[in-house]
Amino acid sequence: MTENIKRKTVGILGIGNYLVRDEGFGVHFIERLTKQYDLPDNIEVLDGGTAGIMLSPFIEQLDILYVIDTVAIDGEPGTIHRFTDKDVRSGNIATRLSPHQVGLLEILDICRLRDKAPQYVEMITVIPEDLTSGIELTKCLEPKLDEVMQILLAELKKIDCDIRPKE
Amino acid sequence: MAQRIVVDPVTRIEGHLRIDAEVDNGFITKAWSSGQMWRGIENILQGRDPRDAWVFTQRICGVCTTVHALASVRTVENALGLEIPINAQYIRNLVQSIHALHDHIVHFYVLSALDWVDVVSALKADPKKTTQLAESISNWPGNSTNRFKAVQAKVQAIVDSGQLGPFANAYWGHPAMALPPEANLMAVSHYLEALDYQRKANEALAIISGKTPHIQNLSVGGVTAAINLDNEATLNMERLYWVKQLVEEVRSFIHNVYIPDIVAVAALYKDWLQYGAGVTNYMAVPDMVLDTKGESFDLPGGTIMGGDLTTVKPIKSFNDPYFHDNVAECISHSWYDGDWTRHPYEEDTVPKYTEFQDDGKYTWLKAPRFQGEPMQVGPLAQVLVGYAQGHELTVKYSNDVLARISGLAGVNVGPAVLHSTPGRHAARAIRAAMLSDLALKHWDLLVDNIGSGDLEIFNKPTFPKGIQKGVGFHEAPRGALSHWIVIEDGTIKNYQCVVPSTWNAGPRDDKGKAGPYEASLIGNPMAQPDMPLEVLRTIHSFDPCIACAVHMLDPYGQEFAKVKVL
Repeated sequence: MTENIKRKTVGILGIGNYLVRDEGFGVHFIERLTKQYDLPDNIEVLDGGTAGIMLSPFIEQLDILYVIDTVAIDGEPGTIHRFTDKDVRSGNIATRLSPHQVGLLEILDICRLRDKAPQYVEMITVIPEDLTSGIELTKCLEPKLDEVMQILLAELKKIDCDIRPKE
Repeated sequence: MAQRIVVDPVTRIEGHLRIDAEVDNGFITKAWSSGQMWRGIENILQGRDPRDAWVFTQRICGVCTTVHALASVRTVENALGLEIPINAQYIRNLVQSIHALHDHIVHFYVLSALDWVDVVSALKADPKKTTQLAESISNWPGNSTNRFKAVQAKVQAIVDSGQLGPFANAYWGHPAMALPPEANLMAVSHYLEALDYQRKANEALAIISGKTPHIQNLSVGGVTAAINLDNEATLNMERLYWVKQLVEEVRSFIHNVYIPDIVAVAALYKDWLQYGAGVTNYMAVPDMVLDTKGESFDLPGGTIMGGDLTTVKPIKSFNDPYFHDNVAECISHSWYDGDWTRHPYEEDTVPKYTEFQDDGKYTWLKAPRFQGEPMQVGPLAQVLVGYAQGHELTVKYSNDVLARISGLAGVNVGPAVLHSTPGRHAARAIRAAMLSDLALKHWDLLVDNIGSGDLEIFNKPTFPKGIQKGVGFHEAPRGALSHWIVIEDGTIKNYQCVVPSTWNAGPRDDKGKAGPYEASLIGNPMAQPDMPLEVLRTIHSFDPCIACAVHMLDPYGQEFAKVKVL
């Protein structure tokens, strides 16, 4: 572990609506992560729910951010897609009608405007199957929690942030 | 010939607000407000333990987490007739007031200011003249020529990069933009500072509520924030002083930046003081509780009918039948099965979707009514209800803001101009000033009470056999919020949330009376139907909050609010 990397602050942010079945994937993920793993001091974890700008203090303290979320693109439900912040572009805040429409990408823009965005942002996302009301993931998405966990653990290992299951 | 325009979210992200308007000869003649997603929270709660309801309700909405948590514990306490310790009231009051300060600042700067401020025009400003302008309205230390030069350079860099980020607005140079370059530069500088101050409010909220965005320390019966002034793991003096310092800094921003900016927008856009009134029946619920029962408050509640302040009638307590008995919801124009108007205890929530029917059903929102009338809720309602009752703090800050608008606009304006689009912004700033004072007052009340040796924070609830009914209300940043519960043998039988944005954004009722958003758009000017800046101005002034449901990542940033001219 190099000293340089060790000092970096890494954030893991799960977002989504816990009351809208598969939309809550990121929230379920954070619950599982904190239950099953011991996390070193330089890893910050947050269940962000559907919060907008309230996430900015969390994000601005980070060097590296991993976001776990669902994604609105065409494809088979359960398919995992990974993006960096360079791959995606944000919408247009001013023509939106409500504060909820200020999503993660707009928050990252605001952090950039303040010169406080993380150096690296990666989104690990999954296509949802069911967006009706309810608090349980579908059978399609439930197994994806482990799959995304393995992807995240491998990523963390690459930057020398090895996390271990709880005893 | 009338033209139809639709401002409609077009991504696959569901759950947003759609506005339809008909424009004739440059003015809006008809409007419809439609909520595009059904929230099934009520059905998720049935059969659960009432003590857990707040954990679920704070997930209804990512912006309003604390307000749904607070209304939920209050509704169960009301059903049980449970008093809560005074320390718990003060802590809840700190939570709600600090949350509102955060919310109001973010609403104006991040979500509305760009309706009035032309960022690109700021590049043409003379930084020295900007300083003169700023110094004429406030002595804020951030208003310096060097600061304005630096902000201008930042804006230039953003424009040069082509990555406009949060300033990527299609409406620069719109004919309805009227501020001089210096006012625009000052406002952009304050936008950037507002991002710092919203963080301070958020930090204070996190300390007093355990965590944000989802607060941790509520409980039916009180709070769970153990108080021990000498223990590092609890709410102690060090943490309390840090909260106080942050609130004082935010208060200074509100007085020296937010209020002067609102005054400038209202005065420099004085034509707009005649637009956007809509429904002028108002309702606010009392809040900032001063006793254990909910009978004495620092913020008054009540109703005003027909814009006539002399009709004011107070809502006096958590148990006041004037509120309990007079709220109903109508589904004549909503995508639910039936055509009824019912009291919340008697409602059901059975979805029945049709297409968008101009004269039939066209929204997932119900139409809440008070004594059969549509009511506008929000900071404007709260300020007018307080003003009409002679509430000292409200009268003081309202008169101050109105006098300053009069001075800058060169015309004498009274409270009547508050029934307008800029009036809603002014009322929100007035409310922020009041709440910054009240947050500090309740900090003192809490510390004094703890100092007297009272450390109680919780009264245990017990659930008798049989049926209990209750309502919990809270004057949230967007207005009167109420949760209604029916408990049977200790579990939830029915739960309904009547939220502020439903009062404001709800549809017509069975008598064809339009909701506040719809009514507020009638008569608004519309310079360019394909760039409906004027619609956004009026709708934003309500601080809409209905798109709470879904938050998927939209990786390709599709144009979000599509405008169709039919």
